[in-house]
Amino acid sequence: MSFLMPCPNCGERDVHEFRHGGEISPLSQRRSVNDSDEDLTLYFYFTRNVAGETTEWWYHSYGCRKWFVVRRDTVTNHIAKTEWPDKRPRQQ
Amino acid sequence: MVFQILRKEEFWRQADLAPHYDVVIIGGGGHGLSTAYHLAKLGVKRVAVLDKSYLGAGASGRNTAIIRSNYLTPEGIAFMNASLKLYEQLAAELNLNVLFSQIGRLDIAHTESTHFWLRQRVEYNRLMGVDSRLIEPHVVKQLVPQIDLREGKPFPIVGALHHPPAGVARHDGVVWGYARAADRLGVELHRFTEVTGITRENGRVTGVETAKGRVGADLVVSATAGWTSTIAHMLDFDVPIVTYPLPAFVTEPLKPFMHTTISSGELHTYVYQTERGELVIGGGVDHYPSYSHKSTLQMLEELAANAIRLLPKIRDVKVLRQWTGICDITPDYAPIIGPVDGIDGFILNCGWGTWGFKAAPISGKMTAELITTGQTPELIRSFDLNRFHEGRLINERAAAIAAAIH
Repeated sequence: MSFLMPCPNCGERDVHEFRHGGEISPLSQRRSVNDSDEDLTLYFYFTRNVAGETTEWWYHSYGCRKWFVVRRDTVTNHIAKTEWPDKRPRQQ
Repeated sequence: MVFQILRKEEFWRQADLAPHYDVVIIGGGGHGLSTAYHLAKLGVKRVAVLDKSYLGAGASGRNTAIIRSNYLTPEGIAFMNASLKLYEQLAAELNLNVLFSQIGRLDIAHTESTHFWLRQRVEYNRLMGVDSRLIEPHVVKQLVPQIDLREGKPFPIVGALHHPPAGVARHDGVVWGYARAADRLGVELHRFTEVTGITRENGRVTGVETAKGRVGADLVVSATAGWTSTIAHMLDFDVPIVTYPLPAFVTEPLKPFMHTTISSGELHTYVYQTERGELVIGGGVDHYPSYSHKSTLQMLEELAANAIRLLPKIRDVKVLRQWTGICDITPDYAPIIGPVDGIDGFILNCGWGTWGFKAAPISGKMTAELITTGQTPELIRSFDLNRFHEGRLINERAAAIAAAIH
């Protein structure tokens, strides 16, 4: 389903200007080489894949080329909010 | 006599939910119903299939119905070829014409690297006894005279993999056939019975909770494809699956002109003509994960533009309808069949992504064998969930050539 994505920098744009960058969940937490094989397996392959509200990375590839965080319902594609990572606008 | 002919044949009976079953299967699509049918055939008495909608409402009624076995890995080729062999006998087995028609398949290469990759697949296929061959562009032209062979155009055709045993079947027919055959063997089919929870005692699954009440079960099978993660969450585990919507569309009917299915990995598009004359066009998944069944104009435009690159003469043909199904895509494009460590009485049957319809007969047969014997059949030994923990990924890139993500 097509929808409009409110980019924190550019405002509402067609979703096809953006690239999906994966979900943000305990499984996607940054790992290090010292982590156990089990943790690395979960990081590489497993996802929450929630049917409902989920938090994810998006990238405005045909716009301002900035990464931001989106709260989206994966069933209805309703966007609850978009924000910069850590709520701080990134400086150039 | 007339009344007998006009009498509506009941495809399956309706029953009230019993308090307990030997096996409860969540998901009334091709895989769930095929599992139920084979379980009943192997003598399991009390089997129930629960679906939150009508039978075949998910991917089983939304796929583009292509059946082939020209895969890449030994595991994938053996598995899909066994399924194709079952499809060849399916109409007789289910006593229902599933309109299986072996019109063959062309995987088209536009670049030397793809051509090399197709050659690799051909060699693997032939080693495994599957009929695949590399053909030159002029042979492609003989099979599909309308194909655009002009040199110097974007995406020129440098060759193709021809796989004659491939075919298409009526996907609803497969669902109805399995449902009716399962019903005749005593399987209960409960439509519009959504599973809302799974009950557990001491680490063992004891049944499911539904909108119509609690149902006990010795064993619960999840055959819910795109919704598998939601079932896994009921048991507090995660699966290596991302759910993507996959769009497809059909055009208005044309005179029969194309007697094979053609697919292009680089264009993310495949086309074939149905027996009614409509062109079925499908290909890549949406660019972001979603559980939405709604289609987009963007994907219609992409698929249409790419189909016209292959067959310029269809550019003025009108689109009849468009639809979308959701796909449970695994990291290695191979399915997951088997138990889950730490959860007794539960079998997972998922990871069917964009390649599930062609596998329904063998998937059900193998799942039923796994359940009745307690041993994992050789054919699905490498498709267990533990392969992700043990680094045994399969890399079945030929499963979703057109639909491969980005």
